[in-house]
Amino acid sequence: MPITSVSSAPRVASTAGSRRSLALRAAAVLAVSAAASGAVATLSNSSRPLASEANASRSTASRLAPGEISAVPAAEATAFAILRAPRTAADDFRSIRPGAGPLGANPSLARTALRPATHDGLAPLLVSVVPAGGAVCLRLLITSRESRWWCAAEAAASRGALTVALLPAGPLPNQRTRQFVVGLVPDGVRSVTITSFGGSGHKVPVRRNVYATEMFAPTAISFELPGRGTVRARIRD
Amino acid sequence: MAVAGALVGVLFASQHAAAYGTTYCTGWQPSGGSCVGPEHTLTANIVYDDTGSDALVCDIAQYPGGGYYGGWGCGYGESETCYAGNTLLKGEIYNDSVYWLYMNGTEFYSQGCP
Repeated sequence: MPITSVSSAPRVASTAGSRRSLALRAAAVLAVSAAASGAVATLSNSSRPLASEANASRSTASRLAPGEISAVPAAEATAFAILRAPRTAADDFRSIRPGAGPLGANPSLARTALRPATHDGLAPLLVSVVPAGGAVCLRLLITSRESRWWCAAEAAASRGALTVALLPAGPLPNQRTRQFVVGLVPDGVRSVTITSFGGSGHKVPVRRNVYATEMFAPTAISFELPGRGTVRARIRD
Repeated sequence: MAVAGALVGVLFASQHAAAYGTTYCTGWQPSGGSCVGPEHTLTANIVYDDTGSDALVCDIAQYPGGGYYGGWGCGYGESETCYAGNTLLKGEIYNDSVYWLYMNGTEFYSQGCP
């Protein structure tokens, strides 16, 4: 059933998810420029951008897609060093189709976390951390024509709750198969331990707030979160 | 619990109905359940766990004649894939949790998706 009407304003909710991007993207297509400018201004004001990014964002403000954030929100920069690092050309990526990402994620604010030297197995071509409105996103470039996005609310992401998995094509995402697991953790987490179906643990280093590995049948992840002790979570139910 | 989940799902479905795109397979899916959407030149396929429990859900795309375009992507609460918009594809969603989930897929076929 085609859906034709448009939500009037972007929403920022507390749970993870890009469902809110529906409204943002719809606005990108249909909203008038005045409304779009208002939405951008509202988001810009509420995101409390870093001073170091404010100047840069001014020069790009006119190129913002409606709903797209204009600077890294301070809370996200505080939690994730990768988002405090100065952007370089190596952080740029080419969009599959230009526009705002989920929840107003702005590709021009992205930081490259991982660029695998080889594209073996399930490994993506590029892993980026992209700030959004009240959320943080991981964007994986799978091929030149396919990318994947996952987002978590700032609070959840700050607890290391953004973990995703890539699995081979097939009728079902078979749990007992090789998977590429990637996740975002806050500053201070140096490594994570991923447990496989057989019970063995696999220690994975964290670089630029991101861990990534390909392994057989991952089932759970654990890591030491500074000030909060050990965090344990299932990767697959 | 199930009633609460259904209500939440209905609310989210209503939100989707106020956006631009095509929702498909809205409803309860058992653990391990999957559902395939209609055929479009997709620019995006998104799966949602509408219960709000951030359970593990997966998405993939199929060619109309069979076969898969890339692999599965799984995440908590939602998972989204962007496509170039030049290939006819059908979105598919999958409940990868151990619970029944009220969920849906959304296909886009004209909008930006970086």
